[in-house]
Amino acid sequence: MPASQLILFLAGLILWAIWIAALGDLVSRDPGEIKRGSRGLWLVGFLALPVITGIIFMIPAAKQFAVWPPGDLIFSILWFFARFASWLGLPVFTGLDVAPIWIAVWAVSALVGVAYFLLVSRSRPTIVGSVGDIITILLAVNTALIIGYFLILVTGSDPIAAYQGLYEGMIGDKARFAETLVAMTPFVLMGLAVAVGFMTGLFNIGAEGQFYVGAMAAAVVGSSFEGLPLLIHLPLTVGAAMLGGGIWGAIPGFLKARFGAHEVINTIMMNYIAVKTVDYLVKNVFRDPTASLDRTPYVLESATLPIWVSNSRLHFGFWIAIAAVAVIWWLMYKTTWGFQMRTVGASHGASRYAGMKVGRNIVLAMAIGGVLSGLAGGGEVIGLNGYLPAAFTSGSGFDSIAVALLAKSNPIAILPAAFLWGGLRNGAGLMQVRAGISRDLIDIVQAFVILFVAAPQIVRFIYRLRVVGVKQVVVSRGWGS
Amino acid sequence: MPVSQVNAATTGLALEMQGVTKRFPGVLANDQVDFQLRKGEIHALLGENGAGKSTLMNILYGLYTPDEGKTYLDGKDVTIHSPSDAIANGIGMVHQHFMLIPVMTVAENITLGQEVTKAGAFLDPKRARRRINELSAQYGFEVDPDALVADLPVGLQQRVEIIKALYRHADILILDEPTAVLTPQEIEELFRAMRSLVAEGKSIIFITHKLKEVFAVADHITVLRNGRVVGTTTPAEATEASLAAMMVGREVILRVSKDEAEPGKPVLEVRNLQALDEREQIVLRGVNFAVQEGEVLGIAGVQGNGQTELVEVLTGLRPSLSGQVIIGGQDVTNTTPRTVTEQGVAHIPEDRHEFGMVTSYSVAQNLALVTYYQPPFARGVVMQDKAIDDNATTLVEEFDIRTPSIHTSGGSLSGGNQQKLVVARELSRPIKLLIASQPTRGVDVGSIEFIHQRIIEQRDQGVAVLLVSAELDEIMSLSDRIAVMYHGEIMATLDAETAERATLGLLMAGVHPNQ
Repeated sequence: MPASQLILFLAGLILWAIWIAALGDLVSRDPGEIKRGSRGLWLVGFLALPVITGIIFMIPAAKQFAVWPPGDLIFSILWFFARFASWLGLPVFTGLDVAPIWIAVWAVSALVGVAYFLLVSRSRPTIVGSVGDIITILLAVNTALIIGYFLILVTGSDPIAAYQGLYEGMIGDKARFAETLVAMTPFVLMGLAVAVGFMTGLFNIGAEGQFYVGAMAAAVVGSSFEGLPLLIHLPLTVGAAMLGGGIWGAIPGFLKARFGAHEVINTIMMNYIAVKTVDYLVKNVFRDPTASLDRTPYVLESATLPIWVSNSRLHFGFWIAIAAVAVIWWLMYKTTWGFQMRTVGASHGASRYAGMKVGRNIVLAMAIGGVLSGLAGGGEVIGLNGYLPAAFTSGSGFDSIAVALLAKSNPIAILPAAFLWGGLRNGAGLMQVRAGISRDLIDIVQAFVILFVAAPQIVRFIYRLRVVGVKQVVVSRGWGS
Repeated sequence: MPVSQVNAATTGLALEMQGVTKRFPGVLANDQVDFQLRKGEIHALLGENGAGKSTLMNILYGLYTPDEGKTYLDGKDVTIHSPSDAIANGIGMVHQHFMLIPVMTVAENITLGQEVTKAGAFLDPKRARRRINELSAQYGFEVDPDALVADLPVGLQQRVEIIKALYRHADILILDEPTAVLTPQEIEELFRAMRSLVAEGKSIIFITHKLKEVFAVADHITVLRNGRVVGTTTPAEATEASLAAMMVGREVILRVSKDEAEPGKPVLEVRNLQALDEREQIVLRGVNFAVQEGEVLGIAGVQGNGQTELVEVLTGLRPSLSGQVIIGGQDVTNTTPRTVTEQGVAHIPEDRHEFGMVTSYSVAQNLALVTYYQPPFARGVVMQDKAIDDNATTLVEEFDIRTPSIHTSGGSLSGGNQQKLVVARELSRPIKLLIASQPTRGVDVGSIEFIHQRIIEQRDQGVAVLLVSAELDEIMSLSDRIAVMYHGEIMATLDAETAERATLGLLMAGVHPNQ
């Protein structure tokens, strides 16, 4: 690969980083602090070029835009939105096949950023609150991709081709985008499950086990009760998955609340119990005698989640996951239940003082996590496979911890985090084909993303960012005078 | 007010800081601060929370780099980049929270980081012990080098911290609120030790907000306010009132004015209450008292004599072993905190960070923390954000909580404003009993005055007030009756009008004055 490619690649990333940091600074500042021009004017200046080129960049995809049926229209809009967001948020992917244009666009945009710093800000980029979180995460992902770039280089493959493959595998066309949404669905639900735990101060490692129990329950209920109408059988199956997962999640919660047994140990152990027990049940008790491999009988038509987008595997489980995000957001931020759980997560002392029952909230948070994970497992069975096979290893229960971390436990942020996670997993296949490198590389890139997100100081140090967060200006902690 | 600028003597200055300025985003923490410390003096640094004392000392100790200004040690211009620079320059600091490792011995703690070794790699405990004994003898500090730090009382732990600084050849000692954790007797011992250090040529910077102590021990007093030096004076020229006025920028009523109490029916009755502490040791040994409507019962005592546990048992946070707690005629022994709250009890907890508030929550959320589940804050299970915000806007105004916005996190407020937040929340609902534990700990003078007035206001409205405080002044100025607690028991209950300091001091030490 020519050295000029490498230089272009790195230059583009640096320019993009300047742009995104300046944008974050602008959005973080009070309107009064902007000495020249108005915030709106600067915003237009920042966004004009990338937005225009982004739109041009999407023109070839317009051929695939479907207006009918309505389901496909919504799907097409989502796909367009994802492509456009990827252009603004991760140009390292999208610009690669149009490198010169990409570099030119970000060069001009970065110039606007530099002008902004010279004329208005005159300080290190400062980012605040959730804007700061988003920018830190974007830079973390990009830093991880830069490291991945060099790793690919070391293995003797072509990084550009690899990343192009990865990108196209994620959202290159509608079929692959549908697969990305399929892959992200369990991550959304289980990411929420872990996030609810985090908010309540619990480390729920048990999503994996709760997933299995939910899948088992859905497989059993979904394949029984022949003759039931869909309107009864489907909710019954989904309810069974939620109940199974919920009970499985509540057990370690109860053990913690009642006996103080640590939830990390207990959920890990519950995972083993669930995986092995389900394996046994599939092979011995609920095995479909007519099938050649060890699996449960097919889920009946009346318990199957309908397909949403034609000619794809994308089912309505995706919308259940979206609804779960809304419900959990509402529950955690708008109800007394959520207030209690979050208070318990912030301080046991303060929650007891406020008359809350710490133990009950721990059980509740773990049970809600179990319900969500069980729903994820059930959705995979009744939406995707139609049965539960033995040795149904997913590992997504553990990945969902990473998703929750990436989203900083914010229910809304779970969506982009799960999308990225599912997308990287889904795109890895095409990356392997295009560049001839192992798809395990994606594991390494994902590991770096989490590393940088978990230790945001690294990213801030690399990009010289100053973050003014919630705990700001502690002038004299520990001095008391 | 008598403020005199000390003439800048060109010689005899151990330390001079000139024009020190330190900015934080949005805050000018130190603004052209000049500070002079003479050799062999105790110089008190006085100021409210956030006045800039801590910043100034952090700069001197190398924790912060000043934006402007110079530091001279013995007339030499020095730049201190880090605490190890400060130590190398003979500056030692005793923090308010001790930096000791409890499971190590006194000698190990003192030599930590500067271990005495033989052959470069092996500890030489004998020689270390000898040096520590030398130092102890020189300044008259009695400390056993082989004792475990965890076994020492707080006063001795502080002594260890001072020896640690001396061991590192400190000539200038910074003592950060050293009396906050001590009994009156221990404070006397500390002052004696400080005087003997000064007699040996050491210089001491004494950070405090207690005016009485300044008069007891300081040679010079520098008062800071809003990051600026308000003035430097001496105890002879100043009065308590003048210093308090310098600190807050206006006249402060130090003694709360209040009318005669009109006690009514008993609201809180405690009978033979016993309870265990965390280590399963008995910590309340049969406590009996009653508080009536319209009176303040003050519980005096050195910290750690069961007051914390008493309040926790009363408010349902800790189970009792035996005995009875009756609030408003209802037996609430071993009930839940919520039941206690719903009986009309307000609780200002001793530790606002552990109990009283959630630092990551906004001011508005913190102001709804206890009754979040009741209307108007919630309808069914749905929280009413608007009602929570409206409530916050009202209370922030009424209780003068200084915050940029009601959505600012509680943790970013200053200590005084955090406490006002807790007080505002607790006093904003109808109550018949107020349990206030150390209501003004770590709070600036201006806020103390405000909180005291609010407590008396409640009393005048017929609320029964139980005040627990380690500050004898606070107890004496607010209470109508004073109960002294020692070793898990009430030693005696005195009438506040006639109670004498000396008597209370003896009772707090477990001695009955008449025996």
